[in-house]
Amino acid sequence: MKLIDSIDKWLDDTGEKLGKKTIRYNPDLIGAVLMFGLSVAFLLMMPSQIKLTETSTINARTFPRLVFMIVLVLSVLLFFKEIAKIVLKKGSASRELNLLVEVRALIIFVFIAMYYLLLEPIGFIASSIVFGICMTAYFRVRKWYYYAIVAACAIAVGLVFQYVLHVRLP
Amino acid sequence: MKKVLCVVFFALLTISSAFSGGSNEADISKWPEREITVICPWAVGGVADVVNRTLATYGQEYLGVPVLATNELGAGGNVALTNYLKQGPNTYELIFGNEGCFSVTPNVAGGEAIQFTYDDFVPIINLYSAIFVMTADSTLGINDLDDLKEYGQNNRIKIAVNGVASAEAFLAMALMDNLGLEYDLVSYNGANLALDAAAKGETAFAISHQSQAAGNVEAGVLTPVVMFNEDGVDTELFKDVKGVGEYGFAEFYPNTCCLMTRKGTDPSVVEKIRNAYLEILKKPEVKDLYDELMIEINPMDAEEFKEHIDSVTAIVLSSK
Amino acid sequence: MDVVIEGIRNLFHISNFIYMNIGLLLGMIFGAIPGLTVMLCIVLFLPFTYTMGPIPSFMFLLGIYCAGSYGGSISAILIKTPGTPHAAATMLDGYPMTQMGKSKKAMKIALYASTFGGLFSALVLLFFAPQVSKFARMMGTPEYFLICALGLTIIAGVSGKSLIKGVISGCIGLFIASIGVDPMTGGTRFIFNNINFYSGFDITICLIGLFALSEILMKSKRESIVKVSMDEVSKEDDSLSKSEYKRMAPPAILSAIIGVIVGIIPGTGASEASFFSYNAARSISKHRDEFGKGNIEGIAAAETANNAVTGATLIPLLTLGIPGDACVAILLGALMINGLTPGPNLFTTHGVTMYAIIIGLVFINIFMFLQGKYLTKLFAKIINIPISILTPVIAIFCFAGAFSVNTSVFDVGVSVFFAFMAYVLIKLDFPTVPILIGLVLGKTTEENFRRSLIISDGSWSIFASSPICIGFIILIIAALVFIFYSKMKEMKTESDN
Repeated sequence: MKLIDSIDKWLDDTGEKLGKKTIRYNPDLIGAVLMFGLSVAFLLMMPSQIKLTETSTINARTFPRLVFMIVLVLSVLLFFKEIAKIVLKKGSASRELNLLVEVRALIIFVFIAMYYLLLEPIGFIASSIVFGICMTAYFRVRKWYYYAIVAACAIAVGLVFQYVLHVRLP
Repeated sequence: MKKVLCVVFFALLTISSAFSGGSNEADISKWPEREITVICPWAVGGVADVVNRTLATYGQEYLGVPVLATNELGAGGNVALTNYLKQGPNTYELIFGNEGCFSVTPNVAGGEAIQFTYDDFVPIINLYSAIFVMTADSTLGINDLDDLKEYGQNNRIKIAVNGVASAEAFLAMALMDNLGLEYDLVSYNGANLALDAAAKGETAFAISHQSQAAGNVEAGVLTPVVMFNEDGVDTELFKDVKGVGEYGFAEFYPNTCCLMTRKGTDPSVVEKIRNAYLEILKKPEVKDLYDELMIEINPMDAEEFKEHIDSVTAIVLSSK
Repeated sequence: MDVVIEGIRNLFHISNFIYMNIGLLLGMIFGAIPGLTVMLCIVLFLPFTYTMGPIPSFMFLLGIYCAGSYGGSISAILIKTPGTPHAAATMLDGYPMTQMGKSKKAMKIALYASTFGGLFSALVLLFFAPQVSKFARMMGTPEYFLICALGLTIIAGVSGKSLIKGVISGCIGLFIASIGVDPMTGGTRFIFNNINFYSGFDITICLIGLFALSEILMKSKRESIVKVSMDEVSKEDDSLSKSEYKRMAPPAILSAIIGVIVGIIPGTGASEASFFSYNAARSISKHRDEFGKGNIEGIAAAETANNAVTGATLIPLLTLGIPGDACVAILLGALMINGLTPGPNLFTTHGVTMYAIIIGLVFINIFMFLQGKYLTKLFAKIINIPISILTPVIAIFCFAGAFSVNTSVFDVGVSVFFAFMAYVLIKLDFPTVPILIGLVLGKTTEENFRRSLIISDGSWSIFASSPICIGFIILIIAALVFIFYSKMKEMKTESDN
């Protein structure tokens, strides 16, 4: 238990340090640039990804092209709207990234990704138990029966799907 | 305490790994050891789907395990057949295939994109043969190909089909080319929708199985124009309907529905499934269903099915 | 009339009611659990019905279908994770109510609205099937396109503050819907030679990633669901006042009608109905600004609509053999197995069975109400489960559900990717609900558009070729004008401030 206590303390300390750090960013500017980049990329990829077999003007490329043109135009509009706000000092969009929150999200994402990657090697029930225990540990739970409940749920879900619903889980 | 927890944890992991579904069926003589799934790659409620679901109910009796019927839709069957390539030999998932998939689709426009070939599959047994029929909006008064030709002189013909690269779509294309008429194929997601489009007058014509058109023909909403076979049919509902063969055209073939498995499957497994389905096809309830669906029992084996595929491929290629 | 009485007699066997209630319970559970959907439930339990006769199997399957439509709202309201796609509209106002400690009230509204919608639809089916079928017959490919286009204008209503970002999100959804095989030509689009992209992305997989798994990533904030004190929650008075009933009546009635209309159109289902109605309710509401912040009219509209689809969608199914949505398509298979071939003659050849099923649908909604009333108290306790247990269990269900759709581990990976994408978009203030709308409507809109132009030989006049088409065009123009006007008003208020 002493080990767990010291881990807890280290986590608290790191958490405090990270919690104080924030990064400010403009979601509109970044969003606009990202969407612009994606739409240009997909428009360039279109000829190779959609081969035309018909001769009509409205064809398999029409809709995707229309969609990306709209995204392109709107992202440019969004970008300049935001620039105008910044220049005219009319209150630009601003968000804060709290490092602690983001690191936590990253940890959860790593758990989820790991869960996905473990599905085939060790099977659904085993990987669910591993994931469940990791997530419960993430919430810093000390009571052992919480872990048991989560593991039991994992096993129950797996068995019901496999034997009652005839779904071949990995 | 910690050590005990670790041991229990790893024990749990090991036990639960044992429950994981791995596909390591090494002992072929024991096949099948669990339920079999038969995938119908075409519309829910269509002829193949109904046959699949009905025959599956008798599966347990002859194969000793439950047989589950399911659908996987998209691109007239291409999606399911492409996804099926992920299966290995002796798989517990079987699939349907027909001449549309192996003879027509690879040889029409867009065929280069097809990722599967006939050799990726092993045919087990053909479940039925059926004849396609072309029906017309009854308000047009078109009862045979001569009427159709007359209509086609002044109108661009719109034919509703279940997918533009399907078996029936090719039949429509070949017929129109033979008649020298201008046409467009309009793709719908299922024969029922295609028939409904013709009945509404949205497209003037539709191609489907006889049983699918039966309701509309009986109600007088659609009239049968021609059958895609040699001699036509003459039944209570489809009275004296000529076949394209009678007009001297060679582009016709029966529609089949072959139960298939992945290449590399052990011949004994194929034999087991084939024998089971042969027994199922003998059942009187199945015969009744086939009569109702206006389809025929024609349990072709792998060789016979390959012949059928080759002959349809020849028809498709010669008409190009 | 004899047929109807005979139908009632055939219906009133205890076994039919037992199967009905089992189906209702299963539907509610599957609908409520994120990761499991009504479609999955019907597909998994369909084989069990093969040995039952037509009436018990339909009572069972329709029970699943109706209860599933309601069940999705439970998780949408309680944990901001729609159990089914059509619960996403309910989530918009349901979850804020939970945050205010009014979860029981929200669920009560959802139940009452669902029952009302379901009963309305069942009665339309019973008394007006022939007339409605005639109306359905008048709708063709161009009409379907226009109704989908009208549906796309809803994106504006769920975009939140930024219309531009909402439209971009909608476009992302439309693009994702186009990945896979082109429905008109069979050619591939954006599959990057990867066999796994061939069938495109199933909407359930996207839903699980966009809403359920992404919500788990948001748990990094460690906020508790309920923003008020637990004392207030336990003292929650879930009764509805007369004035609240009065407020909900107009949107509910309007939504019921919209649900029925959407239900009879093939290719559109509960998801479209719930968003249409939500938007319509917002337009006629006197409390427009409260939408998205816990407005009872929003929940009432969405839930009425998605259950009003249930009976109406059986009309084209039974009379034309055309399923209204993917779930109902499976019911078509069940019909055929029992020898009930859909078509104009079904009611003459199998009238007794048909009337038994239709009247049974009325009882299904009544029993759904009773079960829901009892189970709501149980469900409400979900928010009391500690997040440390609830979160991993939801994720486990999500993974099992995502896998079950196509028995594919790759799909689980797709869900995970969508979760990551949703997280990034949320951080950049892009709304995620429009992605869902784009996904739901994308394929149908494009298909019907291109098909219309083939039918008309390229002439755009086909889109004004019938009174219904013109009606929809007027509605679309009205919607666009309304959006534009609201935006102008907003910008004026902003600059005044």
